[in-house]
Amino acid sequence: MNFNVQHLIFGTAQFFIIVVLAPFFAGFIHKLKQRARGQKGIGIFQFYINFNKLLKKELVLSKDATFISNIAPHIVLVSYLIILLMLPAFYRYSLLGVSSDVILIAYSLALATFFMTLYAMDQGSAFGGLGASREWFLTVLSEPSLIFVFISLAIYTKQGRITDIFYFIQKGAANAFLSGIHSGAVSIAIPFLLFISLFIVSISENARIPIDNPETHLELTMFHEANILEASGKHLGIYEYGSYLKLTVFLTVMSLILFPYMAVNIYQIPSALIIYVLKMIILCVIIAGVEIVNPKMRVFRVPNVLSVSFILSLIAMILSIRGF
Amino acid sequence: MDNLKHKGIFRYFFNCLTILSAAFFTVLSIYCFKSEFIVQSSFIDFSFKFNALSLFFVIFISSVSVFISIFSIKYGEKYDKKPSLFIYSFLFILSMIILVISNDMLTFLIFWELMSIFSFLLVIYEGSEESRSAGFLYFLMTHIGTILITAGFIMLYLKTSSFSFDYYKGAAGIMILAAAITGFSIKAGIMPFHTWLPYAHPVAPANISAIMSGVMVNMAIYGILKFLFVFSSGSNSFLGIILLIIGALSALLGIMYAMAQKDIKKLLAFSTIENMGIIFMGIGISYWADIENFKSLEYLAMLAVLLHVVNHGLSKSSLFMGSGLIDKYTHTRNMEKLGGLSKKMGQLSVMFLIGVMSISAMPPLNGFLSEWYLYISLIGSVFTGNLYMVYFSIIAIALLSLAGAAAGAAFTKLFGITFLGKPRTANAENAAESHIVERIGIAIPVLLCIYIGVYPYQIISSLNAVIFYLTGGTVSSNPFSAVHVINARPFSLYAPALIAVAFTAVLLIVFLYLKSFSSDKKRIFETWACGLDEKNSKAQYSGGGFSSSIMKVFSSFYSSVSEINFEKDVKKYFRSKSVYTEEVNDIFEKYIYIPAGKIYLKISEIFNKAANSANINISLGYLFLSLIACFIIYIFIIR
Amino acid sequence: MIMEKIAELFIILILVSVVLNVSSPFIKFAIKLYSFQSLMLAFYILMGAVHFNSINLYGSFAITVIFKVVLIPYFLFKTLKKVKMDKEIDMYIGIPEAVVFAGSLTLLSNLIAQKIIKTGITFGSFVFTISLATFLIGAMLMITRKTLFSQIIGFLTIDNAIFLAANSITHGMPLLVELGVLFDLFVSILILSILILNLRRNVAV
Repeated sequence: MNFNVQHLIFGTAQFFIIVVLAPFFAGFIHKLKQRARGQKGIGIFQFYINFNKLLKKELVLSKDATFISNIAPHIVLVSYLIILLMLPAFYRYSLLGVSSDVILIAYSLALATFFMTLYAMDQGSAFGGLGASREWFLTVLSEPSLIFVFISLAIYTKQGRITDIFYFIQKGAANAFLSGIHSGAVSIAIPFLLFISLFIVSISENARIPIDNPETHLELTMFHEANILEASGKHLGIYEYGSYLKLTVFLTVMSLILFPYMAVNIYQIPSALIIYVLKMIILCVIIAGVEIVNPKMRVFRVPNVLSVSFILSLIAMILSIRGF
Repeated sequence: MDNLKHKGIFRYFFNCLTILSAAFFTVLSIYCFKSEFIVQSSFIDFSFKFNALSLFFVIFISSVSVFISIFSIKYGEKYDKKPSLFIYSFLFILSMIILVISNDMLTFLIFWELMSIFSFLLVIYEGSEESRSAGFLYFLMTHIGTILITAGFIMLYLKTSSFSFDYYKGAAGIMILAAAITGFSIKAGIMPFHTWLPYAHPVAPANISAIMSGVMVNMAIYGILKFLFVFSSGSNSFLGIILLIIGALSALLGIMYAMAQKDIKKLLAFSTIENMGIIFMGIGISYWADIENFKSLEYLAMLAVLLHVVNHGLSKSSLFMGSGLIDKYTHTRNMEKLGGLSKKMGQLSVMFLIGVMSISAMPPLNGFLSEWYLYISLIGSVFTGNLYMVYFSIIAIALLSLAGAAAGAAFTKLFGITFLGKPRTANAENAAESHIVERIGIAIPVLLCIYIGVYPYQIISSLNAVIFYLTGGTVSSNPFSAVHVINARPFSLYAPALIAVAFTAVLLIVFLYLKSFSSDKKRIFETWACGLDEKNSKAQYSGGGFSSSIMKVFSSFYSSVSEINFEKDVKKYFRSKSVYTEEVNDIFEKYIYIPAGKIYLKISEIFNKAANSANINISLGYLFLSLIACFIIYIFIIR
Repeated sequence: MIMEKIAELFIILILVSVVLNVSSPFIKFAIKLYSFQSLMLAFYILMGAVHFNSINLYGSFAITVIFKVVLIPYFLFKTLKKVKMDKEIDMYIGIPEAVVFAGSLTLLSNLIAQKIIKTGITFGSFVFTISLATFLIGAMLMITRKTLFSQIIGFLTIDNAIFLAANSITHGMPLLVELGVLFDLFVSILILSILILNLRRNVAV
């Protein structure tokens, strides 16, 4: 482990920039959707104001709540933050880059789900149990695809850490397209398949429209919102921020699959940052587009879509084992 | 005598004896961990040998037994009237310890049989109809296993003409391995042979279930490791792939059945099947890599196996002890009748939560560590490029990831329904906090779970001795050196200590941020129930409801029957009462075991008729015929 | 080299469209997917044509676009409109199971392709894998679906798979052969459409 002050400074800066930008991306998608429906819509920075306001509000706890209600929101938030500490969004050396194993990332997401569903069941509300049940229903179906996407990437590049994976793809692509050297692991089909697969997974994991509707306020149709129905005040604020962070995690991984460009030294950082934000905005537009075009689907049709995502990542894995 | 019983002298005496002797064995084994020596008893022909593998298992068995005995010093109160429990459990633990140090086939088989018999006596201890039928099934299955293991040993004897394990090195061919491994899988509860396990483990008293589920099933793992890595002649690598796939299937099906259970202990028993499946996957990869000569992959998979044995033993025994406390203080194991225990049993619920997180492989804890090593070895076996292994390990990755997510769901159900929400019945409402000694017994394994999860380097460097004994190599225990899968290039790294430090630091920052930037105002109010003022705790989500949507998607794994009964001739939404019953049947039991049992009964009926109607001459005739049959088998088959 | 990678993408899209076909219960979507699949096949042929500069392949590209991308889907849509049948497709097994089964068929066909390469026959293993997988999944579609329409889609998928395999081995068949095959296909679709129409009219299901 080589310790480097520059990596430390820029890794920290990268982490804080992503954390600060997260509500912006969520707000941007929201704004696009509202505009497309012909509504006037909220401002792009509304989610920052919401978060600030929720922190100032009074916390209402249920009579039946236990210690879980107090710790679960924090653990959910921290597990997303830990994943963001590992992700190389635009700078190759993220803070926890040494230990940014892909399976660890997938299981950290499961940790957040675990505590969020425990929170939902804590107050003895029927809606909480319903939300927890549906959340695990989705997780059981989408977790295999997520792990398959990550393991396909690992097999494709022969690297296990997410920083190394995307650096490897970046180097291979640069060699192939700029200087025409065929370095072995360049493919269009594999990232394409993984992108679509991860897109489906991220729609289901982030409670987006064909599968769930985050704006609904009818309890019987809720997935994600039913889990945090009892949350209020700062707990609700943390959960909301956590959902923006989760969206950002998925969008960042997708942006890296779409076009891996990470700065390796200080001079590339400005361009990498601009390209990162541009990629994220493109992805936000795609997600908003999908959300506008599609109606919400029946719960028991969700397995059909998620099984397709699983098989796409399986095909990507078959393609990537071709080499050996 | 009765007076003694009432004061619980037997309980104190035998539990303290267990603790002392187990602690003695632990200290002795840790003291001489890296050495190897032989003990030969002079008056009976038993021989014992201490090597890294057996010392590891001695430490494992005796340390887990220490926690469980501390727990049962207080927990055993209700069994004072029939103190045979404590005698049997002492002998049970002792026979397991001697089993793993025995160095010849007769000693091994005698203590294997003693272990089976004592555990059988403990299964039928409560004497109810349920426990007796479970005990019968256990007795039957475990003896089929013993027959197969004995057959394996006899074939080894015929090959080497020696009883001692020293002469068996590299002698076992594919037939011997197949027989012995099938026999051991019955004990481990691997999927086609698992039927006894979900019946036998829950009916025993909780401390015994903890030993059976946390320790005894691992004796089968010991036997398999001994056969595959010490006795095997290294002929057929396809056996490894079979073990991998069978393990993956039983991991998935085990946890899927666990999700469908209502009984806490039955859920935990099915989860044992899942974890044994995971261990089998690791053994399969390691054995395959051993024969195909992928050395670093072999060491990694072996590390995953040994770590998972330890992790599963610790977390499963603590969860079984916790379920025993729930049973003791609420008088029910049915989670549909529980709920809200977290407020009544606060400290137990924290420990139970950690145990649940550990067994469902949540990152900073130990369960994730061994599962991570297993994933890395699966990816490594894809890298080997072997035509069959690549495809089978992709299938295994798919099954394992599905099982991992399903484990999260199953244990969320277990913890959420039992400990959170409102109490569903009076049983749960009248629960009380358990005794401090009982909680200490659970706290030690739970603390060890956290310790291994956060700082595993010490235990990995100790396990290296075992890995060296079995495979001839070691795994790096340096916190910051990345693992290599098949070649010398570093592949990946999971640094638990770093992650744990980062986790704590970020948690602290978040906490301080919220402390300084958010309001401290807090109000306690009722849960939102759509504005209704109804205090019906039955309106909460039930355990069956929690898992029903997942079970509906994977309905092909179950053969479940559900029906709703309600009064007729009443308006649709104004029924005063409706009854919902659901029965989840094991597909193996329904389609294999019950038909096979029926066929067996029919055949034996025919024989019974023939034998009963006969006189003494015909009985002698049977004896004569079977003698002749034995000779024929000896001449034509064994030779 | 980049051309190769783009060709790979087209081939993958052929497989993806057939997997999507398994996952979707809508007939209209299935026909659109077939058209898309044929378009991808046509693009693949076009890339081969540019690479080898062969007039045969250019002709093959043109007739694929005309027949498979435009005419056959057009007739299928027309028949669909006449019989007024746009409800969901019935299947004998559930969709998730069918999709997972399709995935395992892909795995199997890759294994078979690898085995065949080991025996010494050399041709594009990747294209062969994909065409074999498409063939098997098409056959699976014909077996598991209940309605005649979706069985026709399965049949057409199988035809595309064979076309792909033939192209990958031979660098283009003689134009006459291809034309003949396509006419056969076209006529069979016409006959099937007439059959469906008559069945509807006479039996009135």
